[in-house]
Amino acid sequence: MKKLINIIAFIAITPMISIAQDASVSFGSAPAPGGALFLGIDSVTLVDDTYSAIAGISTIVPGVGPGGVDGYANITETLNNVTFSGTPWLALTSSAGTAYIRGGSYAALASASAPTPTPTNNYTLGSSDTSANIVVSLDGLGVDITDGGGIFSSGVSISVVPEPSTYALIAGFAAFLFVAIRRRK
Amino acid sequence: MKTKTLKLLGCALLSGLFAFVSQAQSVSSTPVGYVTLTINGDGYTALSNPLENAVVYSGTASSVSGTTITTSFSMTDSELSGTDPNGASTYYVQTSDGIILDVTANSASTITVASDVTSLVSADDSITVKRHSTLADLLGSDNSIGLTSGGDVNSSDIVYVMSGDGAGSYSAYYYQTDPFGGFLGGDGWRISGDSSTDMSGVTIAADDGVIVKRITAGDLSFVVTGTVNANNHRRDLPVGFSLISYPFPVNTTLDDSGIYTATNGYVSGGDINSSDAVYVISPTGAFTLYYRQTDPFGGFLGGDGWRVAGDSSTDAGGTIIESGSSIIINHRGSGLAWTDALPYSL
Repeated sequence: MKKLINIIAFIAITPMISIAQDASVSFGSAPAPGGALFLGIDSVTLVDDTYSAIAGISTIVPGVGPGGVDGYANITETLNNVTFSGTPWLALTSSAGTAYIRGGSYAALASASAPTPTPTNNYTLGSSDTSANIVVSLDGLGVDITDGGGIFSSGVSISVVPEPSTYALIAGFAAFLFVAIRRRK
Repeated sequence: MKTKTLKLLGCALLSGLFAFVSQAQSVSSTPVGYVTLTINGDGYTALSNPLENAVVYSGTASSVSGTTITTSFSMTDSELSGTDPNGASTYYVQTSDGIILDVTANSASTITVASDVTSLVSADDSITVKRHSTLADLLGSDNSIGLTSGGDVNSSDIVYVMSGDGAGSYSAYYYQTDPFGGFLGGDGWRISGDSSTDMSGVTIAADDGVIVKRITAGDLSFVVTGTVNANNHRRDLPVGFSLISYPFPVNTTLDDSGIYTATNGYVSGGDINSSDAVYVISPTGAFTLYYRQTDPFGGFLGGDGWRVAGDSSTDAGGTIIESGSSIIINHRGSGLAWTDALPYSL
């Protein structure tokens, strides 16, 4: 009977254990030569594999990086009670919209419950990333990747490219302005 | 566990090996020495510092009131009131039976500790004052031992320190080598998420442990020096997880450690799920779980004694807890007072 009670107690405590998972997450530019530079991008954050926000993740505004070059963005933070376990996307937001990318070495977010030490998860872009291995989601805008454009001229620089419909909208608006100006004259 | 305390040599390197100064107001001299510790390559190691910093003051408590201990010895005002980068006390008072009390303030003749101690310390009790060991005391201030060091926590070996509240959460420290000559916050001990604050002074309380995750191959051996603990051991553990160590520079066993006694609050049941568990981490990060079984059926379940989870009948009481290692205890009860007498004579 006591064993049965113990089993029931163990089953009862299991859900509590399963939601008490912690993880350490770093994302953005790798803090080393070759780290990516995010050009013309207003903010960088990490989202889940359905592009939804991950609780506890911050949004970074790229700023001046090593060597005085603009576009550096890096942060490390701890997530408590992690429930998401898929492979995240880096969400890059500019005035044109948002693009979603993954580096070549990104893995599913790992987490663990006590007393296992908190796993570290690295979603930075570094010298090993190139235009060939960075994955761009079709659900967001395109990106322009320049190899050798990162910190100290290695790694990559990345900027968001407005999608064709955005270009068409801009072109249409320009044509409208052109016609309106000509009629005024 | 591959962690080895290779040897404790020369516990009498300095003069006055057993020369305790007899007068209460003097600093006593206790045995000092060094220990070689090893960090496993490409894996996990549960470490501790089996040596301590030298005794700063020793004497007796003249009187005790609330959180204040009036001492038989004189001190410099406020010299013990410092805190580490996390705000924890840097000095502690230890009683002869091993109770550790963090110091929050002091005057020339009084020491204030963090909580009421009238039930723990009495007039004329012997007390010593010591400085807590730090991350730098254990692993060096300049990474001379050769831990893998990069620009962030992802590219460095990690030193995990568990919270003391039983929650089992960790702070992750690493030795940063700034590849940009200061742009990232410079070189030195850092905590994950803060690349600029010097964490070398983070205290690792006496009989606390750390877990080191080394991300590159090759074991690292290094030497720590210090003073041999001359007090008995007592550590009051909260409900939940504690990463702790046997605070003497000698090996012990589960049977001899004092983790379980019939009256110290250890929860001993018929299986691992109803008992306090002792976790021993392997280099791969997996844990072996031990528990002290109390067989409710007088032997039917395998009898009483230390067991490894999954084997209720084989005696595991001889399992060695190596000096310089650390273990995790998951306490399920309302408080566990781990006590053990000094295992050697001084």
